[in-house]
Amino acid sequence: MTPEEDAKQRRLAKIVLIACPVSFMAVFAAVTMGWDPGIKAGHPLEYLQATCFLWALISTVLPILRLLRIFSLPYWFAAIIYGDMYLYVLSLCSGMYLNISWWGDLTHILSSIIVSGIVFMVLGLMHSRLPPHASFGGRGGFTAVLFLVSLSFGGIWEIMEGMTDLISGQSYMVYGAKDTLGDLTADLVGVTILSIAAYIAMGRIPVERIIDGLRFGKGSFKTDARSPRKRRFADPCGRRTPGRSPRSGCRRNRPRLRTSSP
Amino acid sequence: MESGRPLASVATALSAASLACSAWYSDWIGAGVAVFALVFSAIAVLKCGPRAAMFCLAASAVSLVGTAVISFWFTEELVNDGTISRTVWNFGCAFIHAAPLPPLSIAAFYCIAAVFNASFNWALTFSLCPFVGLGMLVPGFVMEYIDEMLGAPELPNNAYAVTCLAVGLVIMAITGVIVRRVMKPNMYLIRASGREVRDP
Repeated sequence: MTPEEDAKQRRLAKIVLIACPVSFMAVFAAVTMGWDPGIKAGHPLEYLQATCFLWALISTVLPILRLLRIFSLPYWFAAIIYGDMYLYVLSLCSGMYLNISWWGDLTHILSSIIVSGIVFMVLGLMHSRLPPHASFGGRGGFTAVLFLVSLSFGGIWEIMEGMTDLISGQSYMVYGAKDTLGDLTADLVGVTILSIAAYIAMGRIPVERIIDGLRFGKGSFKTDARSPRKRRFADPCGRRTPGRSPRSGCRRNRPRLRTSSP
Repeated sequence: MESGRPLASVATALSAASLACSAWYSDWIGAGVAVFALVFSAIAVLKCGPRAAMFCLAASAVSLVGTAVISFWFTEELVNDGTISRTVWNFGCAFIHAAPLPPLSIAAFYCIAAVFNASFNWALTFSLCPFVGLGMLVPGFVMEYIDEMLGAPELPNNAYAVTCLAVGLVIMAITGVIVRRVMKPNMYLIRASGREVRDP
């Protein structure tokens, strides 16, 4: 990555870091000050407020990880994730989950597609860093693992919803056993859609190209050209002009000479 | 590679029996697990060695015992009679449904490796097997949902589903730790030919 690309990504991360939480808190303020379609539909005010607040916090995770050079996603995928966040919060606060019978199923399908996409990204990252003796076994094995692993996150989400209601003592997130079963069915549909799409895509495009832009670990954020500050100390002996010959006096980190066979 | 056909054939028969038993009692979560056991046992008959067949056999046997217990002994009538509380019944069913998942998840890795010529080292298996195992519970809930849409009595509350999933998650997390302790020091690989030891 060039220094210019790095600077552009960092600027974008800073914008997202400020704009997204502010916008979610604006929804929080609107709900608190009387925008009440969600409340009229039947959601408790504190549930809507907690949702806005939590997603304001969650929306800061990706830009912080990028600014700390720990993790970043391809632009297009990050945009889809943020779009889904806004879809969830805005449709919840406008009462769509309770006023439209199929809305919850639709958003569960969309969310499970996105979660499966995240699993795809993580598996793709693992695939790119596997040692030579390990492999997923081509796109078939990759898709099989993707399918099974992605299914589990539907279960994990339902555990989270159930625990939230258990701890709070209220039915904030679950509306009966049939709602949970319906959610899991929607998750299965979403996972199946993404798995089929991934299998087809991997037949045309290598996994490495699909996950291009995904970075994990400080090493993957290194820029191509050295910055002026770093260039000064490029020579381990601290000279401004690095010596070409190891006989110029500095023994520290002397490069080894390659000897060719006669 | 030595054939695992005899063991895998027995596993296939046991898993088919488990599926029939759970479908008869409408224990759809058990049926979902039995379907995976049946599929992996069938793959093991065609493609896998004796070690993979052993895992399939273990999963199928535990699944059959579990579905038989739920269908004939540990039934919901115990709750309706007041013999046990619903919470106890939920946890009992959850453990019974989760019991086949550890060998079944390992069998999954063997079958995927055999079919797709994959090679799973300790890191892949340890990190993925908790999710693979938990994911195999989900289709059973889908079958339950379809059964309810077709007119079957609904589950009384959400606790049964959440308990099954939560217990499955805990058991698979422990399985992941055990897998790491076994595979990493021995440098095992799960490959198309079965379990191999990596060259150091």
